[in-house]
Amino acid sequence: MGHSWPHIDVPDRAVPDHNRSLSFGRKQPGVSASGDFAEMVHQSFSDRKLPGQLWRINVSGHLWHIGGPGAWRAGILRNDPLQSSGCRDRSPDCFIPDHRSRYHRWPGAAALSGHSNRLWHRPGMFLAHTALVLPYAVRVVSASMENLRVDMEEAALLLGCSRFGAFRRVVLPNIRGGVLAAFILGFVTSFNQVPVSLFLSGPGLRTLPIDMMAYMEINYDPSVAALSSLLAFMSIGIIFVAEKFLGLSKYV
Amino acid sequence: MSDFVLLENLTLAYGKTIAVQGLNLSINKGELITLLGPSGCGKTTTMRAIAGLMPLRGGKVWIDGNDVSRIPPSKRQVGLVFQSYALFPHLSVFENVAFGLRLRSESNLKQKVMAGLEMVGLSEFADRHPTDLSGGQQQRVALARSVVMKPKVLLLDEPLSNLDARLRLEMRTELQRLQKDTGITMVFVTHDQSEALALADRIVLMRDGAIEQIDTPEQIYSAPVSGFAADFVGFETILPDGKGGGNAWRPSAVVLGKGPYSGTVRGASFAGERREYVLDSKIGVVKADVSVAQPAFEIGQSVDFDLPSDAAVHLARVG
Repeated sequence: MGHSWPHIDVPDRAVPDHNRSLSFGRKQPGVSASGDFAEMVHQSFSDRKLPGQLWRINVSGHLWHIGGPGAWRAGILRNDPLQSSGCRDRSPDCFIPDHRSRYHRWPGAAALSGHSNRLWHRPGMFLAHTALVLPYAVRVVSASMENLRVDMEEAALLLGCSRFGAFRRVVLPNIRGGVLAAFILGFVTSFNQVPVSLFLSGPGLRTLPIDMMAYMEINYDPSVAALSSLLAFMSIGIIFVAEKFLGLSKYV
Repeated sequence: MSDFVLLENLTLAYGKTIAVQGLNLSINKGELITLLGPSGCGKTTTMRAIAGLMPLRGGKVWIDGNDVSRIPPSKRQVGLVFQSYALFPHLSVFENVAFGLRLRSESNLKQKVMAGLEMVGLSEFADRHPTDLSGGQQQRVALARSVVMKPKVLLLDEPLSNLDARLRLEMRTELQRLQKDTGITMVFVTHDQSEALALADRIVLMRDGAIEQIDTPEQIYSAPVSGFAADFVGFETILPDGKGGGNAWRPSAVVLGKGPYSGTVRGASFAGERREYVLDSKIGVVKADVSVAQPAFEIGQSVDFDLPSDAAVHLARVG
């Protein structure tokens, strides 16, 4: 039982729905490439909304305790089409690459139900992204705080505010610009983040760029390029919005 | 009522640096006390301790018979007008003044705020933002913001130092009027001796975290106890008497052109109605200012001078 092999955990509720499955590498008749793509984006987002439905493949909790190799395995598994397709058998409609299908044969420690993963994936990803954007947030917010005089907070204290009240009523409204800028910076950074997300993504928990990569591995069509362009435009759009409302250029 | 504000053996420190050591001070109700001293003498630190913004290293602070040493600033009923005004830039003038009253959820808020603004002559500026106001107006808003709270003690931290000379005079008069009208107890911190002399009921002259002299402005001006105090109120020529004490003369008391001493003019400057000179002499550096009606002296010229003993102030110590 000490193995930390990944195994497939098929929930009882899981019903194969081949019409909805993502046919990575193999087009379903009547489903266009853009249809697949839309499905992929949809799945990618709905994963987060309906974790119970999609967390079908679980990596044993041990994976997370053995660091790098574990992350690597999770990295492999994240792309497993089974995860997205909801396949529970090897029906021809479900594409299972050979090198992946061997997972099936591993004597998955079924008893290790993998619930610990569910506990760890999300906080793991959450903490990693938080750590990634923290320096930006701290720098930007502290820069706007430097412009704020300490005595303003003290004045609020003397007028009857508690420490927290002074922060909320006086400090926060005056560093609003910095907080918003940090939010935008953090959002864009986190949203477009690939390497860390790649290693920390797990069953049922992936990010859009990771899904795009997975899609790219097997498919070749312009939809990912289109989506990439959209993301780039979105980032530029955010900068323009920030410029309009916060006047970031005045800091440059 | 005496001992309305009482500082008992107050010791304050920044880390290992002691800023104020064992200070005792009693302030009467309705009194305007000035903490006077050069920068770094601990006057602002003392004031912050009264406000509760500075943790005490030792001693106690009493306000209106209560030991407030461990009471947070928000509950001390102390007002503070900051040197930088510390207005809230995201709120209008009205909201700035209403800030504290709102927290107390007071009734007749609008009326009280407008009365406060009226008092400082800014009723028509209620809807403006602090950044749209001049320095003097901001200062008034800060004053109104503190006064409408009806604090037991109003602390003012060099409130006039950011204003130009004319406004300073105007605000000084305004403060005096305010104090008379409201009878509020005020502690006024300044390094400007003329401000202190003009405003205070009593001056607390501070030096290196301790009190050098507490007296009325008249007493401080005419009878400083030490060389330090004398220097601070304009005695420029201080000569030791050889017994630990000394004598001090104001520049205007020095007689130039005749007398038993002689010195060389090292500096000369014209100041309107007077000419100011710095002389090097055997007895020390002497500063003098004389009427422009007298003939002028050149730099490097040798001049006779006198230090009349009847114009001298005797000091208990020269240091």
